[in-house]
Amino acid sequence: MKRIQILAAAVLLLAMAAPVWAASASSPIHVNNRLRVGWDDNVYQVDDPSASGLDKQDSFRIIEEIEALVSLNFERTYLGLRYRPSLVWYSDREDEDTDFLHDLDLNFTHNFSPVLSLSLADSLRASQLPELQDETYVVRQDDDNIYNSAVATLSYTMRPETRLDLSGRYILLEYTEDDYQDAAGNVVSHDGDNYYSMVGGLTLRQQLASLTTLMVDGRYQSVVYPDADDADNRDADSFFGGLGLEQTFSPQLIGNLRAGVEHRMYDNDAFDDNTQPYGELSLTFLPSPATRITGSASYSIYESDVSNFMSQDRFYASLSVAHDLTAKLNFYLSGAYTLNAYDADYALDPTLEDGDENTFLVSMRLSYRLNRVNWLEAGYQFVMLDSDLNGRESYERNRVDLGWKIQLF
Amino acid sequence: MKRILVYMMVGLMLATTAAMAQGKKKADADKAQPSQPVTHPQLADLLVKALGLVRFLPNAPSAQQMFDILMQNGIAPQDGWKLDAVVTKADLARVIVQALRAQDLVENPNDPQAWINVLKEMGISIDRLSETIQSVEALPEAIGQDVTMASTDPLVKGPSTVQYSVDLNLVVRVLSEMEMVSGEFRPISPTPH
Repeated sequence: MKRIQILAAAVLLLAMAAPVWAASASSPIHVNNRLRVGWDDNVYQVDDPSASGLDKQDSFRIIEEIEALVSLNFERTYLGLRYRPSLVWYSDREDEDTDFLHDLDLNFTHNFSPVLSLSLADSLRASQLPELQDETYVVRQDDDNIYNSAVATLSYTMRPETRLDLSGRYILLEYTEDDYQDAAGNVVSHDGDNYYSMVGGLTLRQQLASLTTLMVDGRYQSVVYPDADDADNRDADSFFGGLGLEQTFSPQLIGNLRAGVEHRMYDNDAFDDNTQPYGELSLTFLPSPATRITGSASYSIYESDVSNFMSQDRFYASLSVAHDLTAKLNFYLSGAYTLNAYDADYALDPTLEDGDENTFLVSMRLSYRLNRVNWLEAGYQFVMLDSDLNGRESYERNRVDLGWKIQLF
Repeated sequence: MKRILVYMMVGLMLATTAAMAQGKKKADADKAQPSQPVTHPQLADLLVKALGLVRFLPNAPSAQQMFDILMQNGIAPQDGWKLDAVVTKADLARVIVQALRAQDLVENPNDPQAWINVLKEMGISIDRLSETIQSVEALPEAIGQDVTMASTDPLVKGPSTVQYSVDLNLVVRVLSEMEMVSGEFRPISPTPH
């Protein structure tokens, strides 16, 4: 609790200093602070022999986020940086009550000439997620991890209507905790879950008219789990080939479509190659100056959400709405549905059967601008996971929060 | 497979060298010519950088992807964004006022002059684009569709969690004793939030 008091005092001090910093509005550096207090009805759940089903553990929580934004724009070069550390504290999550998260996003663009440019983007996610226990149960193993994605694209404008993009990406996921003994005395190791992936890609864009662009793209991806045992080998190579279309239908409606075929080859000889179509569709619609709506849907082979399957077939759909109720009062709503289909033919454990997981999520936020630098907000989030995989538990989760956001400078 | 990547890297370097040489020639030629009119894609590029919207876009976005993210933030010319349109003063005044979140000051939104008047009252000139664009700064309440979540492209997809300014993390880990007994069900992608 002392930590929270110190944090609150620091935030108040910063708030008092904010008007001075805000005066320098042309600064390329901006810092926002967001403090939210809320309630979560399902921090985790454990089997309750005295009840039918699972016993939910609810908790009051505090989320403190500082967001630093840097935007440097020169004649030929752009550098954008965003760093957002977050502290999440739970009142009823013994004995580890805090998660600490870091999000870092870097964007860099340099135009060598009017026809050639280089774009770099890096996303770093570092999570400190300590082991959670409920009496003798291990609710969550120690999940400290680092995820980094770096992508570079060289764009060459061959003609005013034709552009060629050559891209490379490197993805790394590493669980950072050493092997250790859990409360039950078992040795826990995460090494088999670490992976890295390399992607190479080429996209040719052809502008057909003032409203239409056609694309042809090819991709190659390699996923490697360097520390996994042979029995848990999930290494794979994939080739992708497809077409895309970007279309402006009207001043208020814009959309894009992308479709093709993926051929995935597993390093593990026990599994056949997997060839599947993929596709994605996105539409943005502005029915009025105060309302923005975006919808998207996609289908593809996807990295599995559970470790003992090689991959999953994923259908995803989302719909988001932003509406300005007044100049100061804004409402945001986003909903998403995911169907993850798991095929027993691609299970590492031969006793596992086919199964589906459905996820529903609705999230909304009401934001009121008090003045130029202060906002008050209220949010609600509902998540439901409905799983028929053997041993996987379904759950529902509701979260509400009230928050205060301030642009410090 | 590593060989393919090596070939691609060599190709990248060769293309860079060739295009830089070509670009230098073109840049020298451009110096001798009067300034060109600004197109909608060029204006969109300046705006997404000035407004801090680059983080919502895939790497090296297309013009229409930039139009899309600007529309999601309520920023568009009267007749919409077009790939080959030239920016008029009316277009520029409208999108700058929208970027400044000052559209409630416009008395008659259907009159292009009304948007220009608002900027005049704010002391912002629209005679030189490079100066005008400096009047806007990163949107504190920027929103965007999470392209990484819906994407099927291995160059794009990844673990982001915010869409239209709300938390949107599909696989929120709520584990139970049953899962721990049944075996390891750790998600492959991290789900930190």
